[in-house]
Amino acid sequence: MRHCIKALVVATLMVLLAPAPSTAATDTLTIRGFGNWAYGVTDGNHYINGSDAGDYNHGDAAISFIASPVANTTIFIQTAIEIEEETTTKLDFGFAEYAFSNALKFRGGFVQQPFGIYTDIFSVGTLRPFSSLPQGIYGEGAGIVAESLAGAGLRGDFYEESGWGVSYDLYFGSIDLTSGHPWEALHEEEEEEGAVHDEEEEDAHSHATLESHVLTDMFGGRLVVETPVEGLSVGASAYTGDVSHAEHDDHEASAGGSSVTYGLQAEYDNGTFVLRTEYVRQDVENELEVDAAYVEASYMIYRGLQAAVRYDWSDTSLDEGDVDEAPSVLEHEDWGIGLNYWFNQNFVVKCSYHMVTGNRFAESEGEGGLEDETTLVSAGVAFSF
Amino acid sequence: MKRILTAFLVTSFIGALAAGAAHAQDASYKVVTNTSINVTSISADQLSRIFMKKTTKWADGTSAQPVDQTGSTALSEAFSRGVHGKPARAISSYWQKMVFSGRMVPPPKVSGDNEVLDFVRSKTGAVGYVSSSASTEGVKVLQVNR
Repeated sequence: MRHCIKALVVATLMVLLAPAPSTAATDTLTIRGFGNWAYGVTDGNHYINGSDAGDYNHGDAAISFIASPVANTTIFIQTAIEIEEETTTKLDFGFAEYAFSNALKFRGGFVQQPFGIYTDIFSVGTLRPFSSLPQGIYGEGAGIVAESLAGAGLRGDFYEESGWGVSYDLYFGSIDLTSGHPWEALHEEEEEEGAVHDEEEEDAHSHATLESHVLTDMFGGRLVVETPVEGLSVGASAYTGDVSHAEHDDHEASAGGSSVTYGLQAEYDNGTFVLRTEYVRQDVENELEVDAAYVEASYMIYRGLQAAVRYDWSDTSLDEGDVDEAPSVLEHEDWGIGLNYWFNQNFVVKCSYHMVTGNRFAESEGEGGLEDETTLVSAGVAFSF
Repeated sequence: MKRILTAFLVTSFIGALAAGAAHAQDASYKVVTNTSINVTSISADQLSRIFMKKTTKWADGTSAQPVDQTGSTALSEAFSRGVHGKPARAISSYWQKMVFSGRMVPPPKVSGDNEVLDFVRSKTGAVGYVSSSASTEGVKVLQVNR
């Protein structure tokens, strides 16, 4: 709680003391930032930012520096503080870009992974109607997209007078992915049945399902088409690479097979009504396949009051092993409704209610069996400048 | 659960109260350009593309340099709805997305009509908007066709 209040104070000071966007700085330096905080409470399982006892400790804040020291060259650096069970500081992105033209730009460093609608703006809460992203594709345990990749790539934009426009990204490098494997915890429980755990082991056990793996020698791309219908765009993304598993628990580091991920997206935004939908398919050789999708809609009812609704779904199938005793660990379905108030484009209060089925992302918090239905209520704020 | 329900109701109440507050008065504006620009009229769509940096040049090949202003919320809202066809909040969201994805920074913002006029007078290819009562000495007024 103390960390949370501290972060909120720091973030508020950032907003109040920040220079006016773009012009208080010089023409060559732009400083922006954003922050989020949300309280979450569930009826049992741990899900996103919520727990049975209520959880205040979920928030983050970031500062972005965009500099143009010489013509055609842009430097982008974003650092962030994240507050969850621990407080961590990290470099979100750090890259340079050279523009040969609008249609051809080269960037290299730690860049955003261009995939789908939300990876470019992963943590910017003022650019989405819910405090959380759709978990099936963007959740921490989904293992589908990363916030950044270490590598380089090309990108460009073409816009026609007719209203058609095309944006493309091509990239290569490596990404760190975190995926949750709740079915592994299930088997570990079976193996250890009857064993006595001390409190620390129990706590570690219930959250022991997140696994890191690195995708190396990856290359991918994204193509987004803006249509003459104002606000409507469609696109497709894909990437592939070789999986390398990090050491975790009793498992040694190991090489895996190849991974192929592709997705489709559509977005309509007329400034009042916003509709977004994506579908993703991931195939990790000799491990699993994932299908995930969501549909999200929001509408500005009156002045700053906004209503939102989202359906988020994910289904995993394993190449080896079975989970007949608890198939819910492979399933995820989240119906969410939200009500937000936008004081202005830089500050929003969000409340949402989620009904979740499945345990792909909703983890049990202790003993007492696996509850495959979860209810989450979340309330928080998002701000940016 | 009761705490969260209370938060929900409070949020809605705050929203309803604030929404009832006086809405920004509509304000009329005019678009001004540097005298180097050989254009007397432009469509709202073309002007929108310049301000959103989807078009970076005028028809004669001169680099376009749009400038935004923070002087009047009503003026900015009127310009946004009249040229972009969207509320200013939506345009702000667009620029947030561009900035935080490292793709583009928005046009510079200055603090009122006088600073807009100074900017436009001094930069070749510059274009901005001012209140309809502002003096247009040293700049050209651009007709915007909707």
